[in-house]
Formats: sequence, structure tokens, C-alpha cells
Amino acid sequence: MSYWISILTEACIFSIMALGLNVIWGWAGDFDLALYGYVALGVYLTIVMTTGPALSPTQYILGWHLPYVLAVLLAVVIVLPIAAIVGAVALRNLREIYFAITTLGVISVLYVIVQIYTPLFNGFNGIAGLVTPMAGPLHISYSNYAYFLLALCAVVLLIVVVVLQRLSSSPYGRAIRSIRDNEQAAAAFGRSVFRSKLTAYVLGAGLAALGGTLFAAYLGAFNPSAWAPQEILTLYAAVLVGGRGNVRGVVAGTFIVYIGFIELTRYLPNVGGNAEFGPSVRQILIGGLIVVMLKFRPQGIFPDRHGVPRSARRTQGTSGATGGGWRDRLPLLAGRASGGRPEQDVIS
Amino acid sequence: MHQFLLYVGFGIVTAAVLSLSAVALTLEFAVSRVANLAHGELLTIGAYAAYEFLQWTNSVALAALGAALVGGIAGIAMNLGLIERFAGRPPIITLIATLGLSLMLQNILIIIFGAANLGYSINQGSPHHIGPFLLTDAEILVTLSALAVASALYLLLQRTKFGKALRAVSDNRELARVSGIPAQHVVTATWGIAGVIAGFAGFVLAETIGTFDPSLGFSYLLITLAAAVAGGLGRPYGTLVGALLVGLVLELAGAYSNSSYQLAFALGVLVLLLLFRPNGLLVSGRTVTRS
Amino acid sequence: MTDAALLEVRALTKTFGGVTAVDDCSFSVRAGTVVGLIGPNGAGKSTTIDLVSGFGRADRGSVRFDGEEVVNRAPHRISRLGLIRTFQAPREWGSLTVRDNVLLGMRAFGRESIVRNLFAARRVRREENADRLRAEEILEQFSLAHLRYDRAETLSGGQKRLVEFARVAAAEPRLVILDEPMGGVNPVLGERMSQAIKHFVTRGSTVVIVEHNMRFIEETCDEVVVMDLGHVIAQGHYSTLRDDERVVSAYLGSVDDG
Repeated sequence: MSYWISILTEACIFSIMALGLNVIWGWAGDFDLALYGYVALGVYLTIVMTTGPALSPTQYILGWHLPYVLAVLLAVVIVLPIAAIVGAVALRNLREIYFAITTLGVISVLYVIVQIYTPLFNGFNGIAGLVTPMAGPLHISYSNYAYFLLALCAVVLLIVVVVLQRLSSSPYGRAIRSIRDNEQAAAAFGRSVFRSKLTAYVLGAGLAALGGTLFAAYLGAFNPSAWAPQEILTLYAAVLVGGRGNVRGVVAGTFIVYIGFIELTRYLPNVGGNAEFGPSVRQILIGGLIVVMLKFRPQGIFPDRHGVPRSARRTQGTSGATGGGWRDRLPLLAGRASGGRPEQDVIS
Repeated sequence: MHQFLLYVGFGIVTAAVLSLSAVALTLEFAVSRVANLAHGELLTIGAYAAYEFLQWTNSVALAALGAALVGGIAGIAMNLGLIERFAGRPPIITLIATLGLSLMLQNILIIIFGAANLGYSINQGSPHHIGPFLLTDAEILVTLSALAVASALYLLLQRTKFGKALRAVSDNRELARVSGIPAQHVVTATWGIAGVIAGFAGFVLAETIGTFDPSLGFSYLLITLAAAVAGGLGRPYGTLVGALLVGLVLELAGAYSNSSYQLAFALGVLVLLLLFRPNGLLVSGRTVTRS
Repeated sequence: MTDAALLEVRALTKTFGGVTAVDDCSFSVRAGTVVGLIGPNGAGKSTTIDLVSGFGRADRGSVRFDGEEVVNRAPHRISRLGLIRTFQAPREWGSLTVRDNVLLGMRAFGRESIVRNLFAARRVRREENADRLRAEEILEQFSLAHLRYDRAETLSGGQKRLVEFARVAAAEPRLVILDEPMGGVNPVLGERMSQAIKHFVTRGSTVVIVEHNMRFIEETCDEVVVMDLGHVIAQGHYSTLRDDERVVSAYLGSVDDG
């Protein structure tokens, strides 16, 4: 049972990160490989702010012994301007593969610096010490803590999903997608491409960092091997599988990939005494999943369908709504079906 | 000054290795318009192939040859198995696919060879004074082989029919095909050549560092990208210059500061290049134009 | 008032590498008119359009839109002043519906902020509904209503062009520049586009059309600006320029009568 609690908690946490990636890659169309860097910063910062000052030979910055919730807020607040700088510089002139390579360079630089400059986050060995945050003030027993954490992550995920879903189907969602689809045309119609992409970038990074702060509570410790550049692709696979741009799709995709794949590979034998076999097979499957999805279903299981009312989705792709299509419900309409012509589809 | 020149000498060796890897990447980009992020694995595969050949035959020459051969096969397989399957799709999609492939290949190597470090036991030879530089036999060989490859490539590109076809295909594949060039075969053959060079580069790189593991190539990928971008993606001669520059910068930066930050420097250079000179150091302009 | 120049281009110059694409180009467009911009291939027409609309940096020269200097300003800022341009190939927002494409033309920028959509959702909804009614009218006008929920990328080339026109109509621009709108378009559609352009003018827009189709130019334009080798060689009514020897020699017999 506690195994499932763990898995679900992880899936919730990764979903939040994936939603951050969705804002940058799914909505704004920028393939950002630096995203996990913001996650890592979120984790590291949360841990160093909640634990006390470093005891030699361990080294790390801060060590303010703050309450967890405050640390979460501060961690996100610190990551936002960092992401703003990276985004401001990278999104000025770079797109597509050049943007991807640049962000790969950024996260690699961060990775190297964190590994080598030990005063920051204790280098290779990493840091630890975040044990059951909020358990004390809320009087949660050790045995119940796992349930509490799952509930916390699920609630945060729910809030994020609701907020993003509203944004997604709003005029903002429409505008940012237009920039993704064709930025020259978007500029020709008065939209500031740079500003919109940058805003999306910072928002996505903030969500990634938020996921990181929860990840810190879940793991309690963190070190570079947890976010080696080769490890981070699972998140991208999840977004790809779920449906790039589709908020609920991305959550579904994350659950499918994390839970599905972990389950799938849990029972693999240790072939040839190689302890690496299980995790390696998992990585191979992730890599293969990415290639296969890109080749055969790049839009994901749940494609992004902005602006299309539910009833019209079934006839998608055909030119012309069928008779049933007239009973459209505008996405903004809550619970009101209207018959007749579309002019009557307004909220009164 | 003497010290400085010594480091320049080391920089040249670093650049030699780097130029091999980078020029192979450039060839791939030139004919397929794709930044191949699984390129590093061609080096890694070469390094492991060389290891096996060394175990088998104890001959450095055969190991080198083996690395090149297996690399070439891997390059062709990579092209036919993945790159061509994504022909016509936006380059960013292919890039992501190569990332997936890279992950797969690295882990296949982990399964086959294990994740632990391996090493060759090759005699490095004694250091010699060559002008102001101090280099071992091995380092001299490495530099000479890089020069040999560069010259062979030059001859191939400029003096052979194949080279002309390659240049045409890299310019405009459709136009080349319509003019009667078997573009598909040229592309595949180019990837074979790139694989040969990359496989050999992997062997040399592993030999230079001393030990290696399945992440060898991927770790080297960003430095390779830095050199390739510095020369202008898709321009082989520019890449050689870029490799020289990046190699020198790496050595000198490592010499005058903490050498562990070498990688960070290289990456920093890459990021700066992409921001301010994405077309390479030789061409001005901050927006990317096709080479 | 209609005699005032809405757009005034003076000595506009742009060099790429060694080639001077736009060379000391000057012309003006009076408000309420339809002006054609013609010239042989390579004359620099598209580059001029790019420079005027902010999609390229001019080396020298001035572009005044309604008296305001806009040269080298960011394209979205120029657009917000009321200057909208289209592109040679249709640039619809492919993954969005036809209706969304039209709605996006309506320039409701204030409604697109994250903050407003999270905290003032009700008011946004109200404004949206008003715009949706207007969008429906425009879709009807361009006979696109039955495609309203179709993803724009699934449309045919001609339909995409119509969506672009609908989008422009939604924007109600002061000045619209159409870059080769007739490219690959069948005559029936062309007829509809002619009507749409006349409609733009009735609604108060000024129109500049870059085109090769001379019959189209002759039918729709009040005035024509002729470019060759980056420079304006003549400006005036089509019928007078038709026989102008400078114009004829620029085309060198390759006049396309559509």
C-alpha cells in the first residue's frame, strides 16, 4: 500500500513539473531543455532553507532553518528571476534547434557548477535533512505522513490544473498558441512575441520550481545523480505522450509514463547479475517512447484542441458541422447547451 | 611565455581530438540539416569497439581501425534507422528524436558493458620537445592523425566527384537529386564517413582521457557543439578553425583557473556563441541564416 | 483629409551582404486609396514591405505612418498603430480553429493577459461573447461559417487565404498591405478577394497590394507604384504607366496579364 502512496505522490509532483514544461513547450512552442534545472534549483533551495547551517565537512549556502511553506515560497521567488534572465537572453533571437541547444548548454553549465563548486550545494555528495516537513505543526504522526504528503501534492496539483485549464481556454491561451503556430503573423497582428514567450517561460519555470519544492519534501535529500542530463527526458516523454498543450492530457501522460513504466519494469530480473539492468531498460523504453511518439503520434494521446467545443470535436477534420454540431457549447459557457444558431451561444 | 606556449601545445592536441568529433557532426548537419544529439554515441561506440579489438588482438592499429569501422556502420545505421525516418519534419522534432536515441544507446551500452569505467592500457610513449611544445608520442600521433583526416576530408570534398555531390546535396538536396545526383546514397555515405571519423575520435578521446564509460560521448557532445557552432554549423573548414579555437580556449582557461571548470567554460562558450554569433565566428549577424 | 498621405516612405535603403535590395525607395500612399506595388521579380517589393511593417531593419530612410516616424520600430508596435500586413504564403495559425483565427484578428490585447484571465474572468467572458458575435458575422461574410471549428491547417490554400482576409477584416486596420494575395488562387476566389478589398476601403481602410497579376491590379487599384532594382521608378494611374517606357523596359516584355 505504501508503495502505491509513494508512486502516486511522485506522479502528482512530476505532473506539476510537466505542466510547467507544457506552458513553455506546449503553449509557447519552445523546446526548453533547461527546465529540469529549475526543478533542481527548487529542490536544492528548499532543502538549504529548511535545514540549519552546514556542518563541516558538508557545505552549502543559506541554512536558514525556515518553516517549509516559507521556504517553498522563497524558493520559487528566487528561481523566477533566474529563469527570466535565461529566457530574456535565449528567447531574444533563438528558436527551434538553436534554442534547444542553448538551453541544453545552460542546464549542463548549471550541472557542472553545482557538481564542482561545493560551497553551493555540497557538490557530488549533495544535501539532505528535510524530514517530514509540516509534520510537527500539524501534528501528523510519522506513519501517517505519507498520506499527508500525497494529499498535499494532490491538492497543489489540482489547483495548478484548474488555474492552467482556465488560462488554456481563455483568450490568453489563444494568443500564446498563435505565437507558437506562427510568430510573424502574430507580430503582424500586434502581439509582442518576445514578451509573451518570456512570460510563458517564467511561468513554466515557476511551476517547475514548485514541483521541485514538493519533490524536496518527498525525497528529503538531493544530489547531482538525481538530475543528470540523461535522467530528465522522462518528463519530456510524459508531455509528449499526454498531448503537448493539453493541460489534462499532460497530467494523464505523466501518470501513464511514470506509473506505467515503473510498473512495467519493476519485475525485470537482474539479467547477468547486472544491477543496472532494470533502470537501463526503463531508460531505453523512455527513449524509444519518445522516438515512437514523435514518429507516429506527435500530438499525443490527448491532442490540444483549443477553441473547439466538445460537440464539435467528434466531427473534427471534416469540413462543416453536422446537424448535431449546432448544439454547440462555447468553452466559456458553463453548463448551458443552446440550440439554434451560434449567435445565440452567449452567456446571459 | 614558455608556460603559455606549453598550454598552447596541449590546446592543439585537445583541438585535434575535438576537430575530429566536430567535423563529423558538421558533416551530419550539412547533409541532413539536423543537430544530431546522438552524435556523442558514435564516439562512445567507437571507444568500446576499440576496447574489444584491443582485448582481442592487442594491436593499437587494429583497435583504431575497428573503432572507425564500427563507427561507420553505426553512422549509417543511425541515418537509415532514425534520421531519414524523420525527413521532412521540422529539425527540432528530429533533434528531440536523436535525444531519445541517445538515451537508448547509452543504456544499451550500460547493459552490455556495465556502467563502470573502462580503460585501455596503451603505452603513451615518452615526451618530446617539438619547438616550444612538450608532447608525448601518443599526443603527436593524435595530432598527426587529426591532420591526416582533415587533409583527406579536404581532398574528398574538393577533388572527388563524391565531394562535389556532397556539397551539392548539402546545399539543396532536391535540386541535387533533380540534377541527377543519387542524393539518398550520398547522404547515407556521408553519414558513414562521419561515423568513421567519429568512431575513431571516440577511440582517441578515450585514449587521451584514460578511462571512459557509456556517457563518454554525451559528455563530449556539448564541447563538440561548441566547436561546430563556432565554425558555423555545416561548414567543415570553419569547424576545424572552431575546434582549434575552442581547444585553445579550453586548455588556457583550464590552465589559468581551476581545471575542473573546463567543461563549464566550454559550455559557456557555446552558449555565448549561440547568443551572439549563431552563424559562427566568421559570419556576422545575430539571427540564424542557412549556411 | 483624403489627400493626406497615410503612409510616406522616404529614401528607404537596405543592403544584404553585397546586394542592395532596397535602394533609396520613396513613395506615398493617400488615405482611402487602393495602391498597387508592382515590379519585376527581385525589384525589392517584399523587402520594402518588410521594412515598412517592421520585419527588417532599414539601413537608412524614413517611414511615416499617419505622420508618425515608425522606421525600425518593432513589428507588433507598428501593427498596433493600425498597419497590418499579410505574407506571401498564407500564415494561418494552423492548430487553432478558423474562428479563433478571426478572433485573434480583433486585437483585444488587453483581454489576453494572464492576470486578467485569472482575476477578471467574468468581464473577459462578456467581451469575448461580443467579439464572437462579430466574428460570426465576418465568417458569414467570407462564407467560412461552416468551417468555424476546423483547424486552420486542414484548409485548402484558397480557404487559408480567405481566413487571412477575414482576419484582416476583423482587425479593421487603418492600412493593410497585402503581399501577393493572388498567389495560387483561382479566378473565382480572386473575384471574392476583389470584393473584400473594396469592402476594406468602404470600412475606412487604405490598401496596398503587391501583385504580379496585372488585370487584378488594373481592376482594383486607384494608383500604382512601380519598383525596379530596389528603386521606385514611377507612380501614378495604371493606364498612364502602362505605356511608360521606363516601366515597360523594367519588365522587358514579361508583363503578366493574369
